Amino acid sequence: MIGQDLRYGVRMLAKHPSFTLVALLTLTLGIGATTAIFSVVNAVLLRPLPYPEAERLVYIGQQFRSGIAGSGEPKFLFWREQSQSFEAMACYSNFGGASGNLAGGSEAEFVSGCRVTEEFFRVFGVTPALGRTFTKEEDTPGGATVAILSDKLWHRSFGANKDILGQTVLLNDQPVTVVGVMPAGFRFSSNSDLFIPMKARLGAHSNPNAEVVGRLKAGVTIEQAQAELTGIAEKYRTAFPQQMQVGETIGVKPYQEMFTQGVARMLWVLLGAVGFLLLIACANVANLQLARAAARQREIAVRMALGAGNGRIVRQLLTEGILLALIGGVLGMLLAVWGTEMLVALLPDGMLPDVVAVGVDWHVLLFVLCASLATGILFGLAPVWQAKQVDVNTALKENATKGGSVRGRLRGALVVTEIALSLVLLIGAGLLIRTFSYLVSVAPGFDPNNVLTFQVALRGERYDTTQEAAAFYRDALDRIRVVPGVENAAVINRLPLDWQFNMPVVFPSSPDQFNSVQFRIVTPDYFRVMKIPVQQGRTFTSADDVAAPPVALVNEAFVQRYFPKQDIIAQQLSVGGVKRDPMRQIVGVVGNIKQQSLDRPAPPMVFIPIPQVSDQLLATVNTFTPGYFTVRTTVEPMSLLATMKKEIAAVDSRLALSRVATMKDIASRSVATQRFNMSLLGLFAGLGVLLAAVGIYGVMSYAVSERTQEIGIRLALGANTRDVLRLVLRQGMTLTGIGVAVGLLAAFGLTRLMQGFLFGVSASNPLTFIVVTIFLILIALVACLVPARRATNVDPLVALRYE
Amino acid sequence: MLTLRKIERAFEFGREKNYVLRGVNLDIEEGEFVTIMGPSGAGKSTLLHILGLHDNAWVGEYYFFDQAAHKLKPKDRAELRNKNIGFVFQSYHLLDQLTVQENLEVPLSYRNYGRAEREQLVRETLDRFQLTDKKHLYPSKLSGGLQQLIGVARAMIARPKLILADEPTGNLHSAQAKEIMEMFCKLNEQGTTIIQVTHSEINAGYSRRIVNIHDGNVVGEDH
Repeated sequence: MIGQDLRYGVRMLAKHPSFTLVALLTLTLGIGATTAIFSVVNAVLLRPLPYPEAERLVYIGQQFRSGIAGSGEPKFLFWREQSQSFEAMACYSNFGGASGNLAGGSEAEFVSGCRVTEEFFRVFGVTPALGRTFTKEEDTPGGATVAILSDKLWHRSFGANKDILGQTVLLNDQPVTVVGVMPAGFRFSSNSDLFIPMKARLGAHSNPNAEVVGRLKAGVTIEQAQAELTGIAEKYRTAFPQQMQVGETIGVKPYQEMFTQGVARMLWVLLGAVGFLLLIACANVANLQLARAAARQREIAVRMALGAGNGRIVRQLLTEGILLALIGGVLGMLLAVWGTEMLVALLPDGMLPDVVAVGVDWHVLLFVLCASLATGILFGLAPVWQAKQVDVNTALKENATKGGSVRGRLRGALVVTEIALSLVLLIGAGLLIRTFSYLVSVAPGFDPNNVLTFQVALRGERYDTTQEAAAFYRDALDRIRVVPGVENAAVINRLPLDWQFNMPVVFPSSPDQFNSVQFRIVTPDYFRVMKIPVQQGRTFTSADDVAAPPVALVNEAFVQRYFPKQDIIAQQLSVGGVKRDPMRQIVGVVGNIKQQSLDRPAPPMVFIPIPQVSDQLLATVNTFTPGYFTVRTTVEPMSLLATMKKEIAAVDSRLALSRVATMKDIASRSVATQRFNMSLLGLFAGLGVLLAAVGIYGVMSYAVSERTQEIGIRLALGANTRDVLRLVLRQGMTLTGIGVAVGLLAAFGLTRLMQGFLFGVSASNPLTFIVVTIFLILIALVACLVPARRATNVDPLVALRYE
Repeated sequence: MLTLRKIERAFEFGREKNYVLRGVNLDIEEGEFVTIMGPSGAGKSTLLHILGLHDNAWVGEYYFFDQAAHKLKPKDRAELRNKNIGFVFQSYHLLDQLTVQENLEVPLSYRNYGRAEREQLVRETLDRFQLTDKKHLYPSKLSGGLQQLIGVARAMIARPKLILADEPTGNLHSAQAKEIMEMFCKLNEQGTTIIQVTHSEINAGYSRRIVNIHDGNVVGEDH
């Protein structure tokens, strides 16, 4: 029986190729887009991380009311010793010397490393593809200097040489023995070219960049581990009262949550948005089905007259709907495979956790199947409901186009739904467009055009002192400045719109009170290279060397925060306290510079000239943020890269350039997430509006054809062209009006979910709501206008002829 | 009142031209009650719609009182029609989604009557045709006779000088047909010119003049 229904369904689709084509196109688009987004959601939020029994992995950190943070080595050692809930616990940090210049491979290169404790690989349940992991002795202070390479680095720099084990390479001029190579499938973070032992010490600085991950013992829940660690936190407070802050405790979170917390909400919003698109597609196909319902009504009546029961008719119609949806699902799946690749390529760096691989798995296939079946049932129900209204006697006697008021209402309801959903999508997109336009209009505080940037890590014994580092920078800058096409060049330890680097500063009036500010060490020309305006006083000169009085520059935000309405030039500060840094005279104020992102206020900043940085402070800075060269050019910046490499090599051939980018790219990257969200939601909204416009056009065309006779009568009774236009437009715009009202209400509720992604505009911004609503109404008006114009051409003679 | 000279109307099928009316000459005086008769396909309804200025695709001369309708632009013809002509259809053509009262109001709304005037005219017409108790009903709840009565009332409401009726009793049984024809006679006595198309000899008997049409030509008249 089902086979017969299927055969008939296939024949029906083949017999109406234009209907089938339009319906399949709509469904493919809806299911394809939804599946593409779902693939990302699945990979990031639903699928376990790619480690064995990943659900047992937890992140353990210092828990404050404001959130959870890395804990540092001493606390980790205490927790590991005291706790019983974990099979293994490890500490890791991307900072502190694991990164740097690697020699020993095919050529000198900058590698990003990760310091890890010996149980790190056990926590993640991974064994090396070659060699072994670290021993306890190697992870003890004074232990051997060894390293484990990532598969990527092993291939890239060592040609996948299996004899690499036991060989010595130079990392920042230090000999390091390779003891293992990780398998290709092991993904931890993009920063991990190699791993070295952390050699954690109880007396080490409690650095929040050292983070802790644990594998729970089988059967232990997160709550049990949390309860145990909360007790341990209090023991730690008793033992080391100075190292625990008020209100601090230990937090335990699923490890996956730590990876996904930044993107989860936006991904759910995008999935919701694309779900709306699928619903609009369903409504459109249902509308198409209803448009065919007039002809089907007679067919159904004949079937019923021949003895088909209600169940049989419903099954037949649903089979056709599901068949259509399944074909749409298969095509949508193909579109999604392509779309997902495109989506991942478009994703901004860092938006997705490095450990996830987006692709099609059985979750995605199940999703497509469910989405297709649900879609088929959803739009298949419309003709089913219609079929229930069929009165055999009437349908067989009357003209088949008559009696469509129920059908008309249903189609009207579908159009209202489409308009409401499209409006929500459009308003969402509108808010993101305004956010983006606000963001790109924000002045970053510097001129990002024609600036080439690259990092050179001065690590190892050759650059232990400030004098050595300053000499390298001076020589390198002298060479770079005379390169044709270079206007000026400078060095800074951290670029704008990039990561932060905080240091505490103190003032003479309160030498024990530490104030955390953004800290930069620079060469004198940095402000000229970046075209950062000097608001007060002066910038640095080459005279501000080690022999000169210690000086500092601050930005306007610093003045506002610490010395509002005071003479800033008369003030002094010390970076890290007078034991580490002398009191410095503030000699000038520069303009504010956006540091984290364009949507956050410029933070207070302190700059000091590199020659005046103490060796100890320089070592700290270099550990976290090796210096960036900034080169202002008169030519296309990237065209000078090869020359830059040559000039750096001419000063020190063992140093590698890394993180090469133009300042413009960095600025553009800082709004990449917003651009991505805006583009995607904009695309969905555009498609939604297009489908809704097709929907309203279809309904109005259908209404006009159904009302041809009525329009003929009205024309015969004296109506003119304007009256007919008004009649049709009123019907279309009434549907639009209802859809807009419902959509506005829904948008008021749903856009609140987007509040966190907006900048410069509120979730219920009236202007966006009004403009978008007018836009949608105009689109609907245009969609109604074509059938309305056709209605004015109704010839009363023809309309009344069948009399 | 109406003067037709050499009226021709043809429909084109590909390269072929099929004449439905050919060289029709006709004069109708104000206050007449005229029946147009003839076999199916003779061109009766086509002639009626030309008289009603619905059709614009004819050639010849058509004078409505002293106005040369054949020289008027479509917009002016529509104005002339709205001012002077009311229609009654065989299938009543009431608008299903409107009540009796609202159906009566439709022609007035197309003639720019003010709300108060519209309400007054509807009220008067409902009284005159004894339809006041049916005013809130929808057409589908009424008998064919009543529906056609409303059709006649609707045709009359804007006080036309001429009523054109196309097989007005074609869908009614004889008793209902009689009522409608008596209504036409009454309206005619009150001064309205009436032209009807019918196959029925009995209905034709209510009129004072019969125009016979055959193959698009006026072939004779009975008085």
